[in-house]
Amino acid sequence: MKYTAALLALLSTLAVSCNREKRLGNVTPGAAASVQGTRESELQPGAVIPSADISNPFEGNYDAMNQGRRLFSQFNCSGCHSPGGGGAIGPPLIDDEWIYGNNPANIYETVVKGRPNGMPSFGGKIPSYQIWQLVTYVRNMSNAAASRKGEK
Amino acid sequence: MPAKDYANTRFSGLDQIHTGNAGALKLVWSYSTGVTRGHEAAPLYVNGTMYYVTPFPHTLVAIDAATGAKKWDYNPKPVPASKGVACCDEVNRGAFFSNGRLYYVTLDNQVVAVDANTGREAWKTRVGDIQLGESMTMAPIVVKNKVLVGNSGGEFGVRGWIKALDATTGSVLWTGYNTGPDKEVLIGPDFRPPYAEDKGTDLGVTTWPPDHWKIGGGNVWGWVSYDPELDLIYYGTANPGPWNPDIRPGDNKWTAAVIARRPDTGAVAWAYQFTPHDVYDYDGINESLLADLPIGGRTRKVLLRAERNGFFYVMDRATGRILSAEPFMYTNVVKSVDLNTGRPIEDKSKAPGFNRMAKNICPAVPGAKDWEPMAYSPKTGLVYIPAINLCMDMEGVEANYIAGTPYTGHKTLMYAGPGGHRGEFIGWDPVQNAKRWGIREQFPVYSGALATAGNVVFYGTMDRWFKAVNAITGQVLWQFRTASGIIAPPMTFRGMDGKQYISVADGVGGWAGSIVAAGLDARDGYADKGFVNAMKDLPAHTSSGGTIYTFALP
Repeated sequence: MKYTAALLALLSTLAVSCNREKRLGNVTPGAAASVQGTRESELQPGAVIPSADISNPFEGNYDAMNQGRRLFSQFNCSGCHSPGGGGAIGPPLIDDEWIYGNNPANIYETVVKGRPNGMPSFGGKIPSYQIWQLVTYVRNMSNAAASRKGEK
Repeated sequence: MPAKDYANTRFSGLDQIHTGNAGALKLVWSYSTGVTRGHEAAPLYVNGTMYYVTPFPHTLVAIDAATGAKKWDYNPKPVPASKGVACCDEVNRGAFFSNGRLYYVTLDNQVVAVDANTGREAWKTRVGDIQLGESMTMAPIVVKNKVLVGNSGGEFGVRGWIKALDATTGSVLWTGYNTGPDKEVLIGPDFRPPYAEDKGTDLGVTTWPPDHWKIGGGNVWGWVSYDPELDLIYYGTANPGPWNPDIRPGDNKWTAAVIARRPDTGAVAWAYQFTPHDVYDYDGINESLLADLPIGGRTRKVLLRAERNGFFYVMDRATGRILSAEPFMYTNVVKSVDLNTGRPIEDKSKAPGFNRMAKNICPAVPGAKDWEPMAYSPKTGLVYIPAINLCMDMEGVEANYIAGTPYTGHKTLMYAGPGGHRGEFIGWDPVQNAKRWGIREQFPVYSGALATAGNVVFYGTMDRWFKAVNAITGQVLWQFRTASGIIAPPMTFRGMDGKQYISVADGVGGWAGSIVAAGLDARDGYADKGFVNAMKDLPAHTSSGGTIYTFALP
């Protein structure tokens, strides 16, 4: 029984990840390319296609958030964004202004790809799950700060 | 040149504007630089044309000094990624004019030479690497056809150096490191340190944990001065890295020091460390102002330093011996300087470290004076010091070295010092070591000072005032409300029409003004290395900006 359950779980995981990893094969001439990552602009020409947001596998997970807090310091994010997220060399992370978007995939891509005005590119240097842990922590920073609005 | 002369006096012999008429100064023209980050450069004036280097992207603009008409501009096209390794805003401290060209540096480690007539690039040489966390912000000095430049990066584990480039071709002639073995620091048989403890072999290695000097700081982001008679250049080195001192036991030579080198070869003549084993980020990069002063009954060739630790040093510039060192601002960490050994006597109980939050440290990290340069008037005999009155709490935390990212390891909170005013503009007697007068300011005074023979001194404030002050009495003669706060040095020139003009750029920012220039969040006092806590009210006084103003008598 255990094996069957395990096998089913493995197969469904493979199925899900297969879909997620699916590359664009032969593109029919005239067919539009879909957005593999996530949009960084609200503006779309023509009719609006709802965003297929990639969700954070660790959303709401406190252990991930705590790991993210540790990594935020270890990878020197705190050096540019300040330990409390108020910003310095990099912009603040505790407010509600997001240059490159604040949905989990935007933040994930910011860390992986870097950004043109000084955000370094961590892609290929740290494992994907750690980036999601950082995403969890960073998104929590602005939520926590929002609840402290008005506090000096 | 930005400092007026090789001695860095920032004193002009012009006296058309004097204490009797300065009150009548009027705006002649203004010019918007098109950039709104911290403007830290003074304009340069050469033969009817004014030149200015903006913050990133470091456009060099040439302006008709009489009318404010734009002549041309040049853009060195620095890479935007370099903004990610700029510790303290995307600033530039200006160009140097020599032999028909303007020389300056860019954030992405290029040194450029531009023809002053045409704006065409003569050469561009890359001397550093942002992948190592290196950047450049200082104003070069050109001595004997050599362009002297230094790197920034004390917050990124960058090993500090000063280089000489051939002013004609742009090729690198020599590199003097500020940490590491004597061979690379260029300490040789001619090295004569003024104090016994600095005699030894490879002190730039042995005063560090193994190999730590390679990422140890000692950068050169401040001012360089030159004595043509002694043939010595003088400059200072920045903090050791990381900020957390427990990670780097030892004196950490040659950081937080003043170094004298021969411009032809870079060989070190003498060196003195203001702050051995620095624990407060007291960079030693401030200007070395050279003057000949009557001390002890005879004229002494001295070097004057208003240092971060709150002490005003008068040193023999031939030997490096300290003649006097007295506090010019309130300080509670350095009690005195032992003139026999050269060592500062510190209150060790105030040192931060792992699990040690030291409180009420005065001065705070930017010091009693940061890079903003003072001026000296041979007419009044006074030095005009733009000063900062901040204290701080500081703690050391773990620091991870990852090339290209910050390497500091601290938690800091700054706040106003005793009295509640965060800045002061001081008239200081360097011979008597006495304060003659002081003008208290709400915010740290980050503009440089300008002294003139008309006995009028000029400075600007972060809350948008440009002031003319009686150099003898300290009385404010005139002030003008600029559009944004001022963190740049003013300058004066005699136009082609024979009239005296005063110019200054506004545009708040820099480290102190990043809360405005970079839009930081005031709710996190620890942000911006602790400066946000001390500047939470700055946004209520000023926005960012960038305008050059030129004034004259009507």
